[in-house]
Amino acid sequence: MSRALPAATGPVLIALILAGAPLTGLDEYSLTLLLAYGLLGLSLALVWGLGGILCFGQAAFFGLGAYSYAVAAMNLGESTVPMLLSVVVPGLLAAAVGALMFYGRVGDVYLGVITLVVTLILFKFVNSTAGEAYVIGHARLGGFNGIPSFPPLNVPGRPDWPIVGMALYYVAAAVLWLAWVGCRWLGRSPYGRVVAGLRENELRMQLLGYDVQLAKTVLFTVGGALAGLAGALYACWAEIVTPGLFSLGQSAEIIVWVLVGGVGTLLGPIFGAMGLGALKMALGGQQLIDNSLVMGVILVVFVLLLPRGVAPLAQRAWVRLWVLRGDATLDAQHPHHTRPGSRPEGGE
Amino acid sequence: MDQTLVILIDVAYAISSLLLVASGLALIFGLMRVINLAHGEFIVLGGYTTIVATKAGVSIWLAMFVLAPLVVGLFGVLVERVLIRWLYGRMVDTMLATWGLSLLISGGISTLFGATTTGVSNPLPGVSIGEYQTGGYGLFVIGVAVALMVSMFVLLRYTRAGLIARAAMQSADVVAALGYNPSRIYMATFAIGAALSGLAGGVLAPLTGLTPTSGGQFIAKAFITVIGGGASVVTGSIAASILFATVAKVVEALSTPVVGEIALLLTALILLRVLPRGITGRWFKGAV
Amino acid sequence: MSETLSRLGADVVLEAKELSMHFGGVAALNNVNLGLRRNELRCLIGPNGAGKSTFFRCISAQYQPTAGEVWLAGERCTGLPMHEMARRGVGLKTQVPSLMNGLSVAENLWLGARARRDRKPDEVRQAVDAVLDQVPSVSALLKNDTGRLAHGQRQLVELAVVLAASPWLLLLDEPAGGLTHDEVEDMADLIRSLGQAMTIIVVEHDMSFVRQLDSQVTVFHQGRVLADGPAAAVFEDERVRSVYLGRKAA
Repeated sequence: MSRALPAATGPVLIALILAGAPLTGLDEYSLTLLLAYGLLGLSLALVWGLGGILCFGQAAFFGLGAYSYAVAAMNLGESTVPMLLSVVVPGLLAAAVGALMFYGRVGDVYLGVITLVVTLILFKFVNSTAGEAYVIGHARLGGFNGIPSFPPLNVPGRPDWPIVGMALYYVAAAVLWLAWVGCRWLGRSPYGRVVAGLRENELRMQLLGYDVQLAKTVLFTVGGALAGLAGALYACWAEIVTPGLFSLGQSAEIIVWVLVGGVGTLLGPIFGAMGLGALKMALGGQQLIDNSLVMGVILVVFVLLLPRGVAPLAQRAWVRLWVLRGDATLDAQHPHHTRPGSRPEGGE
Repeated sequence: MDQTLVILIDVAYAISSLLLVASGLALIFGLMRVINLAHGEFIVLGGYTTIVATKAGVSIWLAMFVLAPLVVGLFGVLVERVLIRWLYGRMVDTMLATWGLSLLISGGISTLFGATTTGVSNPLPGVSIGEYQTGGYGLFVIGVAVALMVSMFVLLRYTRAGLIARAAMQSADVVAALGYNPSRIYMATFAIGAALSGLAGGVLAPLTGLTPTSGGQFIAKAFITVIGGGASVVTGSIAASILFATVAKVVEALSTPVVGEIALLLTALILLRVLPRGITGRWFKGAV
Repeated sequence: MSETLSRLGADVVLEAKELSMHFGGVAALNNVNLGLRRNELRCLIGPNGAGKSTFFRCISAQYQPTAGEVWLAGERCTGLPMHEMARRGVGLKTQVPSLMNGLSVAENLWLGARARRDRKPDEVRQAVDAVLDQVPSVSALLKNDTGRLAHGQRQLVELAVVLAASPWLLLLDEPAGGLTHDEVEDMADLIRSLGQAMTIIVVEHDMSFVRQLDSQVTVFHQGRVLADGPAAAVFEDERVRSVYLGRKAA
């Protein structure tokens, strides 16, 4: 059982995989995009798997991060501050929306509606910004066409040293690895265990004295910030940002990635995102099968095949794999490490 | 005076189209607590049915009032039996599964019809009110919406079928004990809701060009109208439609249609925060 | 002001003043005045629907009362959110045991102990150990899946979890519910021993349990305080007997 292996095994293994991937001949251009998707999937995995918050509009933060980067880079000419902004701006939006929802005590369904509506608002707004009037500094928002030709990522402080191609791949890989390790740490920290508790029984946690609303808002903010970072990586890769990044379709895709990858784990959705992203790229080249069709089938099949639904899987898997493994304080070694239908522990 | 009338008709039209678009979802959500995120695609299916039938020579009125609801209603039966039936009580899972369904349908339509816009021409001439012209079709839509709301209200409130359907929502066990089959009731309710969506699609087809991805704009508005309206099917939908459409129209008059739409969405957001159970969760409780 | 409150001195740690809770037209609580002294053990009894659980919900801030006030240790606490009341030392064991079912018992205890934010990690562990001393039968259950516990075990585990947060005011809603005869006796012993250092209110239907606790008893009826006094006196009270419809306070 993995419990016998040191906790660092997983991260080291993943680091090796990430480092070695381009050496296998896989084209690093596509891989970089998949890494951005992986980070995006991770952001929802954190919020949904740990917090039980199913956000129907995670793409809002993704798109906002991408646009923040693009607009800031165009105005500043250098990429360090834009990267920071791509994390901070979506983070702030997430904090605002999160506070609105959690302090308003809205239920699951209404949470879905609100996050959906926020994405829609952003999409409609950005989509309509064609024309000279819609400009932030030097950057024209460009409406449906988006914002092209902004400066790519560069070495901090050296705008004349762009980071593209293979270098960008390794930067993205490092970012994803750090984010994953960070989320993993968060899940095992006391805060992470509190969040697991409030996902199980909010009322009981409140009666014990936990500020449940604050905990959820913080988690949601972190998720939004990570999605924004993924957006910046995407922007650096694509060298253009369009309103499609905010779309409902994009939000749906992220949910499918996490569902397929395994709600309740972190590595699963990362691989789910990368796998399905690769599938989409493969399908993009041909006209026969529409990508939406495939996504739809996958989503329906997955929801139906989990007879007790998605939620119990999330609870059980996360708890078994995360909270108890990190439980040094009480030495509670749980006898049942895997259950039928849950993800095997090997790949976290 | 005439101008006021035209403006009022315009607002009434906005309310009516929102009502039409939301009615199918309102029925299904109000009676079954099911959120069908494929609702937009049901409407699109109704629209495509009407368009294809009309182009094949069928009378447009027949296509929109009979064929569209029939086709989509039958499709609704299929969906309910194959998908929805397994997910009752699991609201979030239903949302996910129907979202998948919507992707499936829009992808399917893309594959079959290609991504082009398709439509039919407006069958009604314009109507003059004083010096102003207004689309006759707009008046027609208003009429349909009113008729629909009245029928739904009467059906739910005063007929036995409506009572049984409402009872099944409150307690399936009691209804079963009385000798009715809740499973059939749910199937029928879902099918009727689907048929209403088909009707909406058919009626609105002459006005908007349809693409395989048009469903998205319908579901968003329907979704927030239904949730904003609250548990009561007819009263909730009417209240929410009036609120949202009026806000949208007023803002649109002051700026652009897009800003009007955004204002609609923002109003929905504020409403949900202030009235988490929707309008009829707070006022008109117990109304149909 | 009721007799009760005027009898109590400066040692009043919990006061409900004219507390009312209305749901639509129904008054679940109607002008309730109740006061508790430090380290007092009080039993709250009354027929179903009398307002006992509603009272607890108002004290723990699950409900915001429609009128009246809640004072805790001299501080006006009406209108505070749930977690603030809990942080001020109120612990509630709910009628139907409410726990984190997907987590183990050990994890539940940890969360209870951790609720006191000022505790360092080893203090958290000490708090859990202390609770396990108080409720020894939970030690055997540490590794168990909370969702799979028997009802009696859940009652004890929930009590332990609430105690782990070290409240000074303990609200127990039907702690004897569903327990066997022996378990009930153990629970009574436990509550009496806890009562040495804590203020406790127990809501119960089991009259033999109430007698075992041998405390002051307050009777609720239709949202009001009907009677209030030592157990023996209350059980002899004609009004109380008739309210229980001739059921003998055996």
